[in-house]
Amino acid sequence: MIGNAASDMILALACGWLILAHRNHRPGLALAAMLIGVAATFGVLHYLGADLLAGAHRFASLVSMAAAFPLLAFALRWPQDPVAASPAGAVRAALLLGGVGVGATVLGVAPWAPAVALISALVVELTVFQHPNMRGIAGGTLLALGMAASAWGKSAPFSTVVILHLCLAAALLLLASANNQRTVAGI
Amino acid sequence: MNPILYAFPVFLLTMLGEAWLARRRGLTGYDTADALTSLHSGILSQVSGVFVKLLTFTIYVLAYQKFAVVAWPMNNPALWVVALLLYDLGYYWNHRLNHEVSVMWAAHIVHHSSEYYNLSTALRQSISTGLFGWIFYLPLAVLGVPPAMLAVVGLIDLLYQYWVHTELIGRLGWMERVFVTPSNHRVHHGQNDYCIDKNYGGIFIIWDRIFGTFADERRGEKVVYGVRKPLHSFNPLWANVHYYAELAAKARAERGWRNKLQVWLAPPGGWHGARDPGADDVFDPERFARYDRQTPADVRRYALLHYVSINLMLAHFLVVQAGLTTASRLAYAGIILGSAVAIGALLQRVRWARAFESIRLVTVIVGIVLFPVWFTLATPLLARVAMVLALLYCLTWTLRSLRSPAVAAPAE
Repeated sequence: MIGNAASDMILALACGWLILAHRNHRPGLALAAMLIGVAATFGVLHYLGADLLAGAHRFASLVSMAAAFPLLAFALRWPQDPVAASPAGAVRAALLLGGVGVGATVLGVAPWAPAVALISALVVELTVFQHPNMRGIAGGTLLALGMAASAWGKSAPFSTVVILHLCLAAALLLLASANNQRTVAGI
Repeated sequence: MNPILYAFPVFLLTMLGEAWLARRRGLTGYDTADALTSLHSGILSQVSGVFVKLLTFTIYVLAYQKFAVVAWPMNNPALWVVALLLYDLGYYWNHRLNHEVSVMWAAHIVHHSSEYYNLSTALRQSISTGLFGWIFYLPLAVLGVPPAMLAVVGLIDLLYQYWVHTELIGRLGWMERVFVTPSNHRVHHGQNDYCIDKNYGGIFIIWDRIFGTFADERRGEKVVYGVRKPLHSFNPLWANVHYYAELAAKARAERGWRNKLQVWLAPPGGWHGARDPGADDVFDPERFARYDRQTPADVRRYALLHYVSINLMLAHFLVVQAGLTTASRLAYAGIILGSAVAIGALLQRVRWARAFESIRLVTVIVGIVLFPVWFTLATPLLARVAMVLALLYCLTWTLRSLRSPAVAAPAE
């Protein structure tokens, strides 16, 4: 549990850094980081013993899958789209995507949120490999690794939760900086 | 049992009282056609609520069971107050986005389409606003607000908003700073420049003061009610769907899926603030003229009479719907919907009104003759004969009176 809490802490810190770095110019990316960061923060508290927050952690993780991943995909693939470039656009997309994700999941369409996250990750991978650079490819690989670990679900020999958290933290930082270079270069 | 059923006699009496008072003060408080459109919209909203609220409340209950951090005890009055505050905060954001996101505005626009401001406007509710509204209350499920508590505070929030829809009550001193009042809600319904996108609160106006959307009613400027691109219809169904149709047409005209998506997600004026085509760019309150089809007095009386019968059907529908099959429920809902549309068409004097009303009356007559049990209601033979005779009289009146050009011709 300490491992899960520590890795969630690293993910939360990475998200915090992304929010600070991108809140003004890339609101879609910053909001995606915020949603994941909130889930990670609840995770830290939950894994440190606050059982009360187990539900909040599950809820925030679900919203992250259903809303933060599509926001991330928009921010990296279509950085000029209002969903990526405007705070209002990002917030309304997050609300609708997150709400529909939660609604579908509790009504029994359990694959909804993982499917949305998977499609979003595929869009990210496609973007990374269409505009290759070292950070982007590393970020894309780590994102795929983290999602594969999450789908694998077994905890031996390492905790897949820890792998997911660490891979996601590193992937977010690398993808954001790679995409930043691309945006700056006007590609 | 739907609590609105109990509130309805109060609504009716207060509306009659308001109309009488307005008349005494020499104000044009009510227009029969406009008020009936509002009331018909309220009826359709209640009917659709049977289907929509079941789904959205189920989502809340399931989310509560799955994610609640702690279950709030129902016997702590302080927690009820907190729940009401949190609900009202959720309502503020729901209401704000109802105005700021096109697809949500499409659902909410019906509530703003009246060019009058009276208690009937409060009942001019949407059939589809609930499709997105539940999202804003999900955090309450996570916090642990029990579904029963949510339902009660939601009802309090809804009923509170009824009395603020009036022009007869002026400013209310210190209450203006804390609560939603008739004065600050008049601003919300105004289409004057200073009124646009202001005062979204449900019970508490403090949210508008905190989030920067508050505007005080101006003394020297009369508030003009309605929307900049007016509805110009008394059809409650069209009032509910016209903006969806407009958005669908706009989306079709766009190229690429992201542009099509943005039509629904953008603010009603678009991301860059361009107004809808046809909307007035410069609004002059002095030049505004309300929509008027000069509906003849006997048509208005006929519409009022049938409003009563539609209301009785609604009350019956709400009482028995839980025990009906889905097909019966949909059929009954369809009859109520068709009736409201037919009466709206008569009030608006559209060309197809006479034919549509005749078909409706014949359908109901055939229904009464063929089915002695009207959706679980077993009516005595004498009552059925009386109903058929009354409807036959209505049919004769419809066929005769509406043939007259003075009554039926559209007053363009």
